[in-house]
Amino acid sequence: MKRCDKIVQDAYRYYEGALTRQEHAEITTHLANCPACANAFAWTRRTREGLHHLPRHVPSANFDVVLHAKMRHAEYERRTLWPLTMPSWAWQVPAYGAAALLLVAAGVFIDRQLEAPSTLPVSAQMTLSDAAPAVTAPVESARNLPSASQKSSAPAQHLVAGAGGRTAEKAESSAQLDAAATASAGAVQPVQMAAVQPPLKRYVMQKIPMQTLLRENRRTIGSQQTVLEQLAFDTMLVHQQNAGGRNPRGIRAVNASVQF
Amino acid sequence: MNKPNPKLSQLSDEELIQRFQEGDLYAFDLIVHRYKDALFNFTYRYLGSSQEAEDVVQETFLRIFRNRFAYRQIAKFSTWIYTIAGNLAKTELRKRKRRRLVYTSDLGYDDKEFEIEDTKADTERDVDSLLTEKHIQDAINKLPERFRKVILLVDVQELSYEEVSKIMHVPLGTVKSRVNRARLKLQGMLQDVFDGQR
Repeated sequence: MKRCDKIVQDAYRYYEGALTRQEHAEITTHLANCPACANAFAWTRRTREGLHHLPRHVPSANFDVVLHAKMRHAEYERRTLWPLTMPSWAWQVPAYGAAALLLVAAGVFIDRQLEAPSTLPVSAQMTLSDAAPAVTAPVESARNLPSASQKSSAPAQHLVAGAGGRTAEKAESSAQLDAAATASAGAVQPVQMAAVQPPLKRYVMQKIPMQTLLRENRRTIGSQQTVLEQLAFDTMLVHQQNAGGRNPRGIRAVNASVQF
Repeated sequence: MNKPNPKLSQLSDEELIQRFQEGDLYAFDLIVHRYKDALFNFTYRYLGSSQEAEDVVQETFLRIFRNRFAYRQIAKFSTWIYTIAGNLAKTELRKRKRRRLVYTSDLGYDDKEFEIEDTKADTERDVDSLLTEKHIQDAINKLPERFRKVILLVDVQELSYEEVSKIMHVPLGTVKSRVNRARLKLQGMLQDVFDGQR
């Protein structure tokens, strides 16, 4: 036989018919002999039935009228004030989309601007920062550099050897810049390059190890001064890109700077 | 309110909301017709105020009207609508607490015009006149919120445990446990009332 407290816990299940037939019969027998449990069960029955039979309340008669008025107002808001009432994601998605498109357009514009031939005069100051510790020649030595005409053939040969695989075309273009810079080599550093009038060509920078550069220049030219001059161009070797190719760093030769 | 289409009235709740999503406003009218009384009774018992209950039920239907496409047929419509109404009623209860207004059972005798007489209830009251509606409602109002909601949904609205579990977002076992405890608390309070009157 179950204890009274356990039986009372089953009171609702008893009235709901959720107990097995055996459990139901067992409790019925117990209730017949236990007034306390019978009283508790009576209260359970009353409470349960009281809840189930509570009067059903209904809304007021004008409920539908008010609701329809609110619905019309909601529909009006939706149609007329939709920008103010729409959820945040509804405007965030197109806004972020437009912002992304704008950024892409700006990026394309800047990229094209960088790739387009510059109209600026070529007055690049070439600086060679990493040459400074290795080469300590006086400034006067730069003034004794050979003329552009003397150098026009030598650098081309030198560049082919120095770059290890550069084409003659690349070497030629480099030689043009070489000549331009040499013309103004007499000036006080930084070396002023002569203006190379259009068409300007796109270039990328390529660094050559200093020791390699010195060794190859010395072997080719055999002059410390010449080596010094060559360093102005060869430490940051400039070679022409393939026609139609992109300039990955967005650097123009005219903006290149090499410093002693 | 538009007169419901006889063919529409044969459709299930889920089919009706689908029709409404496709633009059929009569389907929405039918949903209102089906649920307004049940929701009102639930919110009225929960809040103890007919005016607040009516506002909550209207807001429930408005939410459904505005967010008709939020409903997906992965849940029963009744679960969805009871969840919305329950949440709004809970919010209303919190607002009331913030306002520090005490509704001392305005269960109403001024609301009698909205009652539907239940002959069965009358019979029960004849048998046991001590347990009046007022006593029961007072006892319900004194229950903690989580017990009140669960006992109203199970014992007054007569929803299944499974559905209440989904509405309240709690496990089935928790619902059963809460119902049991709520009933015992309610029973204890009613017994106290009875003992006090004797």
